[in-house]
Amino acid sequence: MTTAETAIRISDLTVRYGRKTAVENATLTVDRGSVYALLGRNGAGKSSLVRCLVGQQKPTAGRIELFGEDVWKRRAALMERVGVVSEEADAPPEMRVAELARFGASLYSRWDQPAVDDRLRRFGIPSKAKYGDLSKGQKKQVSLALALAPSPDLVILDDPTLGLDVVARKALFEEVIAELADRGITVLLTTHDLAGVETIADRVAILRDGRLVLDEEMEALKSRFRRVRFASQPVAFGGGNLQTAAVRAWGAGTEAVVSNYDELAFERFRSASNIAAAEIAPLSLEEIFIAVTGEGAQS
Amino acid sequence: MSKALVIARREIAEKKFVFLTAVAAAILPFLATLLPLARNWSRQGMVAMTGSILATGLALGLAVVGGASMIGRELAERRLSFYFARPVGAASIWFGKLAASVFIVLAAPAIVLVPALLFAGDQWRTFGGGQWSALGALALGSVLLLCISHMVSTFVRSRSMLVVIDFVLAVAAGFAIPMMIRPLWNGMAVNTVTWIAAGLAAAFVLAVIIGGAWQVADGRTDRKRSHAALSRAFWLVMGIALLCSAAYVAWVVSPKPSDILRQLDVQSAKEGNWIFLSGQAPHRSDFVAGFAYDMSSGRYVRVNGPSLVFHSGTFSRDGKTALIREQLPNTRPTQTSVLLIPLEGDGKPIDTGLTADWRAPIVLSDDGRRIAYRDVTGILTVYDVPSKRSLVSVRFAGWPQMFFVSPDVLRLYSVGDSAAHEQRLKIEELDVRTKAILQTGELRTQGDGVLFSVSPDGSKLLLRSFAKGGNGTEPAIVADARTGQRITTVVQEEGSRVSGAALLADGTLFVPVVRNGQVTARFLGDGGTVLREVPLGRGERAYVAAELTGNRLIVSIAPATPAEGAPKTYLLDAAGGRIIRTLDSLGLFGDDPGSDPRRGAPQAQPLLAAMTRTEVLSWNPLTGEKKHIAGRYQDKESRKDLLDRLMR
Repeated sequence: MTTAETAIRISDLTVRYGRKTAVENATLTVDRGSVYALLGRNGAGKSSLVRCLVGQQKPTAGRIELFGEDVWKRRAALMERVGVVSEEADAPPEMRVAELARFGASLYSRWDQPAVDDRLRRFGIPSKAKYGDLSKGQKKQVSLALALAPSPDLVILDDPTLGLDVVARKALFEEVIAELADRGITVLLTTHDLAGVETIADRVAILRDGRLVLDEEMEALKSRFRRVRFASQPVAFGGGNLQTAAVRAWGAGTEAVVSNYDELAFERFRSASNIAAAEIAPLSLEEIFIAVTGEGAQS
Repeated sequence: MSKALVIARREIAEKKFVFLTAVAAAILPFLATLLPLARNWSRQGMVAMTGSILATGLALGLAVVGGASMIGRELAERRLSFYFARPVGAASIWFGKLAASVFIVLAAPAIVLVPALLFAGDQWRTFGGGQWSALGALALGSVLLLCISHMVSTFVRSRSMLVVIDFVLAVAAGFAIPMMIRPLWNGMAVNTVTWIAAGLAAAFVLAVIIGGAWQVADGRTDRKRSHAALSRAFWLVMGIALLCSAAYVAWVVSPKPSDILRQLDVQSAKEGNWIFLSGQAPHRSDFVAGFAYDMSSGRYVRVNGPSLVFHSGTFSRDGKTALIREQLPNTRPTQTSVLLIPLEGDGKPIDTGLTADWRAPIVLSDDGRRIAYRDVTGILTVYDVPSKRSLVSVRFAGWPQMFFVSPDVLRLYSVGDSAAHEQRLKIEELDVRTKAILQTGELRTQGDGVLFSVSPDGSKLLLRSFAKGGNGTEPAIVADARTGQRITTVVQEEGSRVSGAALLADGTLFVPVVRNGQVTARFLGDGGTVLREVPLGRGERAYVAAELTGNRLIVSIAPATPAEGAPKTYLLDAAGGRIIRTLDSLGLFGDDPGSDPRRGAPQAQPLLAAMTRTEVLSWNPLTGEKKHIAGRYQDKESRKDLLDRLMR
């Protein structure tokens, strides 16, 4: 893939805090115009990776490029093209929303104030309100409105649904992010709202204990994961061609999450194992995530 | 730059409540005049005082809070990403925040202070110095405090173990700076100390500014990395500043004798070729350097300069040991430690363990093992150097001149008025073994003041009396040095004047008699018998500059006015009563006056410290050989001015 087609390129990224490794040898690329979901449990290293991604933290090793430029060296210039919604509510609490907008307008070469006003109106946030007086969800909404005002080419959303109610979450995914995707703006988001992200993400990556254990297109991911239940008898999966992400007892039989499901291969496995009947079902992103990162997950 | 201003404006806008508080505080001094307590004050004075206190408190408080919250608080609360997520350079973030903090720290107190000062007018007085310097000190102090607060806030909030290294380095700097300043302080280089202190303060502010810029650029939103970046840049800049200061101090305190040009002073040992030389070197500010200098070899030992300026250093009888008083740190300015320097040895000072006021009369025994001094409270002490303990301490009312007759016997001479126009020289001896003072004699004469000296062997003394406007009735008396019993008395003769009498080593009295502007050297034996007379030439006064072996004298005659020509110097044959030859006319420095009244023994090959208009040199009057010691030029600051400044 050429630099012109790549919005984000992360190569061998490692972040350490003393002896603790937060991110280890992560390598990924995000195509322009795609929606990329970075998933992981709490403490998996998502925020460390995002801080490095926006040039706020120097990685212990590795390199990050946005639009082909080193983000650590060219952060200030690159931020003209990047809208960031941080995990923490980081705006000064004493400032009013309108003041925050004016401050932002004085820093960017492009600033769409009507779009800011429109979004704030839709979110129901008065511009005279002090940032510190807003709820957690409203703070996220203000941050989002401000991040989108300079018409960025890349939007990085670090847990944007934190504190949002169900309606606001739905609106975020179905209206805001979908609209960005429609306009060809690259979006990278981290979130725990897997149902929300499932419908809009083009590609998904999962971090587990700082290591990138999965990074692929959403459709391909969902097509290769299946839940397989054998109700009548216990089944041993070792030695076959099927790879399992999780296996557990299910009644008198066995339940397994197969991570490389293929009809032909499964039929071969079934006949070889003398199994009469099996129940096969697709998995939601949430189920895949649990299978990959949960307690019973197999590396 | 414009983005820095945007950030500064935002930071100031966020803290606008500070200015509202300042406006409210500005009214308080005027309200204070309504208090019953204020009735004893003028309204202007009350407003000025209250305004000053409030402004000072506000400035210092804002400096502490502003410094702590400038970067450290936002780092700890993870709010610095607000700036980093925007297209703003690290330098703009830092300098914008710094400019806003400095503006708030200076402007808010000004809101309180300016109305008060305008109202107070001339009534406003500071406790010392001018108003502007007080305002400047407050402004600089506030900025310094802001910087300190920023550093401490960053270090503490980072929760990094690096703080231990910072603490160790801060303690090391805390020790290094006084050690660096001390030699300057001992050399009374007050201006240099002030400039170095100001320079280090400026370097500190610069280090925080550079360190802060690097902290934001390299540390960004990472607390520990931010701490490390600030720490690294700060200590690098401070390290360079300290090294430069140390190098400058090392250069200032290391002039050679030949570098000395200003405020020169020379004292010669009574015997031998060592002299004390003190003064300042050009471009080394006001540091007063001091040396014990051997005129025969050019070898020198550094000694405390101000000690020499105050003539509180002295040589041992043989001129081979120097006694120096050096100011002690953390004590009263007059308190000094007494050091002995073996000049013929390695020249390393030996701390005697004795402390004494620099004004206290002090003498060293001929064997260099005992020191006698009379402190300002009137206690006379004999101190044993090897054992570092006092052998005897007794009360002694007068300010004595003294010498050790033997290691156990100290002879004391003290002058006092016994009646109107009558002077009394009291002679006493302190026996170290019995710890008792015994009066052994006294000598009285008419006059308003006396000078006296004792022969090198301590057996005879010469007393010269003065009346207002000239000689006393007995201008020269030779007496027994222990009992004061008169041996020879020179009586004032009508139409003549005695000037600069000297008791020679063989007991002969040299009396220069001035009659009608003509000087005649008269040599008297015991009882006042005139042995010889030598006409010398025209002049106002004459004195013996040196006594040589073989009854030879170096005598200088000073003219009454410069219009009458240059001083004349002669080599005289005292025994033969003739001028051997006329010598170069050089200004000669006097002997170490010290507290030991004994004259030096005759020298075979004397080297005299002399001066011309442009240099100080050593001079052998017998061979005419001259060697350069130091340069010399007159500058605007007179020696009296230097003394006045040092006394302050």
